[in-house]
Amino acid sequence: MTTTLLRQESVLGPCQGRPGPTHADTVHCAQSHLRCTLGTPTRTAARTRPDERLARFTQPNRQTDMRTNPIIYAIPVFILTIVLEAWLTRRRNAGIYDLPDAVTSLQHGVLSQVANAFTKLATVGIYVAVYDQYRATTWPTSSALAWVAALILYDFFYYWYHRLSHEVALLWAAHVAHHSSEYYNLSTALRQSSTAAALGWMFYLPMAVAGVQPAMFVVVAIINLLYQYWPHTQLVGKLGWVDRVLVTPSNHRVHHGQNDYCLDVNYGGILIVWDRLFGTFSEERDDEEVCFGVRKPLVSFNPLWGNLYYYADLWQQARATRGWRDKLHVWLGPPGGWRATDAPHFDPSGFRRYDEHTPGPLRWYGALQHGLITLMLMHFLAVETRLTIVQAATYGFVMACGIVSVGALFEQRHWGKWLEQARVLALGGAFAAIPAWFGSDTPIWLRAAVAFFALCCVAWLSRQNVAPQTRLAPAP
Amino acid sequence: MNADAVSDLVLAVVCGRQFGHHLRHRPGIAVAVALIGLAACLGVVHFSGFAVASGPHRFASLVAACAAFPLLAWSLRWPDDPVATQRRSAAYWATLLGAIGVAATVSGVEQWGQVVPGAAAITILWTMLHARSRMGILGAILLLASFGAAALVPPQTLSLAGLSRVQALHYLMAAALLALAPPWSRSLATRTA
Repeated sequence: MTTTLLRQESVLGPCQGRPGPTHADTVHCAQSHLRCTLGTPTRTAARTRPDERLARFTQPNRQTDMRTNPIIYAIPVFILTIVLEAWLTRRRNAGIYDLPDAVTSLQHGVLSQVANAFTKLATVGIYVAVYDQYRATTWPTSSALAWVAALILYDFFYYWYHRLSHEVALLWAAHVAHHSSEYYNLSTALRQSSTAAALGWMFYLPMAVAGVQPAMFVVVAIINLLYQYWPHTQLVGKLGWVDRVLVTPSNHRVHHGQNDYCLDVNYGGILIVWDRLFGTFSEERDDEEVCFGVRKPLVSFNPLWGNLYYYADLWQQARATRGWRDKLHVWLGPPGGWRATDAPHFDPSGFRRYDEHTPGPLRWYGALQHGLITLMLMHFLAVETRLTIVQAATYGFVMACGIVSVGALFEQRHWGKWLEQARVLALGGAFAAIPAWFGSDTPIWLRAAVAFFALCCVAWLSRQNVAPQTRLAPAP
Repeated sequence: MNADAVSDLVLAVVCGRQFGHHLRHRPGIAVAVALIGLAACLGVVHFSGFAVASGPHRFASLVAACAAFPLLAWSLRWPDDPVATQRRSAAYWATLLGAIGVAATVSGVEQWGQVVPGAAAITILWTMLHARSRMGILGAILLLASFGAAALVPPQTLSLAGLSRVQALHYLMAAALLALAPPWSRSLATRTA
């Protein structure tokens, strides 16, 4: 208990008085590694103020030559595997896919990637700053053992982050988007929250103090994230001993269920042994079908609302609560509050999935528009580091508009049709009129084609009868 | 092991004792002293000549300053609050407050790690004055004195009967923690709850 309370004269010199690489060496090393994956500024400073260091990671830099975001390569793989899974389940008549739900899941993924573009540099920046100032040692990237240890360590902290995401209302508000689908398939894996990254960084700071290099941290984080894609399927059954060691489709299905035995269990990312160790493991039962989703359903195809609805709920609860301490506990207590009793009994036989009975043509129109938004996302991820904050925000807003209007079409809202027509018209017009689309030159034929396509969409939409008819379909 | 390490060892031992004593009935206080104790343990290693513990010691100290003292103040001010009575809640708060403190400090707001514990100590003093607890008042004054010694005494200066400011900080804080949450305070807390 010394240094913080003393005047922090040593903050800028973390390597003072200890053997090993110099501060300049280690800063340069960390930046070099990060440059490979995140794109740090090329300017290397031996000693800079912490706020300057942080600013270097939060400000866009036009000179940065960044390696391509790996998510860009993952997107086609995601789409292909989702199409394959959908085709297989259709052949088996399993009924585990619903087009509006799947598109909404993918739209959540797009939105989260856009949001991450704005938050990741700040959150990774904090990690880098902590690593820079407080690390015990430097884990060598040349050691395979170090990589394995970093992956296990990351998974351990992920377990706690994930567990608290279910046990603290504020974190649950960020995480609930991932659980809001009442279907369980590969598209559900991409139903990622847009706000979780802003709250999750704090759980991994001990890794920075331990000395896990930022580049190593980013890589193991991506490995952990990508691993979690494949357990989101119903096509794979139980896998024997593997189910007891790794996170698998069987034990992750339980995590996504809302049956009584599925609540608040199986939090692991790669290893399920953490759940066995800390008493949160639950095995999938053969005698009770898992019903997916959350007890308080989203009842919407709007990904923006999907990310915000639980925050709105907490806000309402806090407003209705007297006393500032109780208001605070609404946000930082468990979901449902400290005084809440056990969750009510869930009867799987009475479960009904949310369904707006969107007409087929509108479903496929939404899927088509989502495909185009995905192309925009890939372009966005490729050029984001070359964009200013305003340009990136504008690009993000363009995609968010598309996401909201497609969701509104799925819900058959009257305003959704007008919003979509206006959006398509404005987007087509802008694409045709502006020679460089966010820094990328577009040939005249492409601009003309996009404008023509936009006009076709507007004309087609004007002939569609969009009428709301909310009904709930029985579960298959 | 030099005199600084010994002072950190004394603080660690006091924290360990308080942690064991309060874990069951006053987990808010237990989590707070655990954070301070962790920083003290790392300090023992650091001041014993192991440079590898320097960074973790400073990090743990920062987290303790930003999270443990507010948590201690909260637990003493509202002993029936979930933060004071539930381990889970105390741990959430410690994580959140620590993270805010770390983020603020690395973002350049370095005074955060000094202002927050200072405000917490003043809150504790105010609470103890209200409760008319002599030991509590003594503990709060000792806590403020420890922060004062850390903030005002120049480095390398010997003060308080030949103690360096590091040692003064540790010994005063250890005494403060003993006075603020003495063994007999459990019954008081249980009655209040």
